[in-house]
Amino acid sequence: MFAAMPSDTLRRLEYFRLALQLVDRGSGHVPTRLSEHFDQVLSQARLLVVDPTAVTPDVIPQAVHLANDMRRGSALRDALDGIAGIADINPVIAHNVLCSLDPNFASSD
Amino acid sequence: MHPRTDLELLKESLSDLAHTPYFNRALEEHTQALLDVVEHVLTASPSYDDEIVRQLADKVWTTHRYLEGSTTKESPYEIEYCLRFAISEWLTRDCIVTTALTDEKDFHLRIGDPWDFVETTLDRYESDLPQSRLIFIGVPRLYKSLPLFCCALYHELGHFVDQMGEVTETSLLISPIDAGVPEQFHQAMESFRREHFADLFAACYVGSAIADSLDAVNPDAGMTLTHPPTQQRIDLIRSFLAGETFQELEFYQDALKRRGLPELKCRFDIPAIEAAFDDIRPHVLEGTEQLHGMFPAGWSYLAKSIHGSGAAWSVGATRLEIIRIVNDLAEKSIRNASLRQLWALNHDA
Repeated sequence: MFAAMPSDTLRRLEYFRLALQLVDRGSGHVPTRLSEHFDQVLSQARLLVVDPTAVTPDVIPQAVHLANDMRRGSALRDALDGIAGIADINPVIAHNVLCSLDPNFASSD
Repeated sequence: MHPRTDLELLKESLSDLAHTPYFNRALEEHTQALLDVVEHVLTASPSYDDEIVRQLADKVWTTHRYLEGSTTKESPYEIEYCLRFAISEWLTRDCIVTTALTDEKDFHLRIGDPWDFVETTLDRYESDLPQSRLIFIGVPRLYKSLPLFCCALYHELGHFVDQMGEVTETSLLISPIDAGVPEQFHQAMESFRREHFADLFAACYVGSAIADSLDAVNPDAGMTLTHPPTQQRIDLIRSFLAGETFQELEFYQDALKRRGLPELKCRFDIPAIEAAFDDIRPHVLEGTEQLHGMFPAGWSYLAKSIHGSGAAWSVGATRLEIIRIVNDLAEKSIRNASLRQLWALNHDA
């Protein structure tokens, strides 16, 4: 294959990643709905990490996925520590979170 | 190539597609909306971020491929028709199935149309978007007229439902891989759980036909990083069909319940096709459950015929002739059922 294409696993968190990618790229604008999605996924995932039985039909599927990723990897938990939403994320943090989300590449830091 | 160049090229091709005379009218709305979105992104000022444009271009490219596939008159109508009923049991949203024939031995089923992406990222696009969602199906070209060989699509539908509802992810959240299993095997074990779910999902609709398909494709396949050994998969399917309970099934049922999704259970009724098929006639299928049940019935009939205990017509026939005739009878039985349904709908209206 000529260039890397997103796998199904990456697509599962695609909006969460895209919000981070936009911040990482220094884009001045993260679309409102994308920001809302990011914040909602993060807050729901945090609750699920503490109490996995809190899964209900109303939980966003991506939040379940992120919760598992957070439970599996301390690097991701650390990178998201103290972050309440996309507004708290600067390009350095975004880069670290993206590196932690990727299972095949450790953070360069 | 640069995503804006790709979008320009896709715009040209979509314009041609929109003028295809035999184009499915249900898909015209999607084609026109795609053209409108592409035009908006190419002319927006200030421009959208390149990363947004790149990801959109990928989605438009994929959607274009399947829309184009639906104009070729080659799509395997019968399997699409059966899958529509299964899809409607798991997704509340209106979905349109589109198919692309693959040159590889590749079955897939995925959602990938760009409308959620457009809603979430293109905050200056104000036109209405299609309410229905597109589901993309990939079927090997060689199997396009062999519906019994397309059982794997039910397995792929299982992956699709799993991904939409994060069913196995929920099961892993509640019941993670046993801590006693070495860390380096966890990813494989998680992948196995996804595969077993998709197998059991398929078994709900096509029963033993999914086990027969696995056995036909590669009976001796061993364990890989993504898939359990074939024999283990077949054993699990047979246990489920025998009504046994086991730990993994409990994981899935619990996760499905928590996600507000239906349970795994047999959703097929095996039609008695022998009399009709022995006379080389299509069977009259009754109801949706018999549509799905056509697959295990067809596989059993196929096996009997190939192994020399079939009807008179199969004596002396080659293996490939038998395969073609039985698939043809299954195809016609399903098509007749769909025609009767359309007739009834129009008659009622």
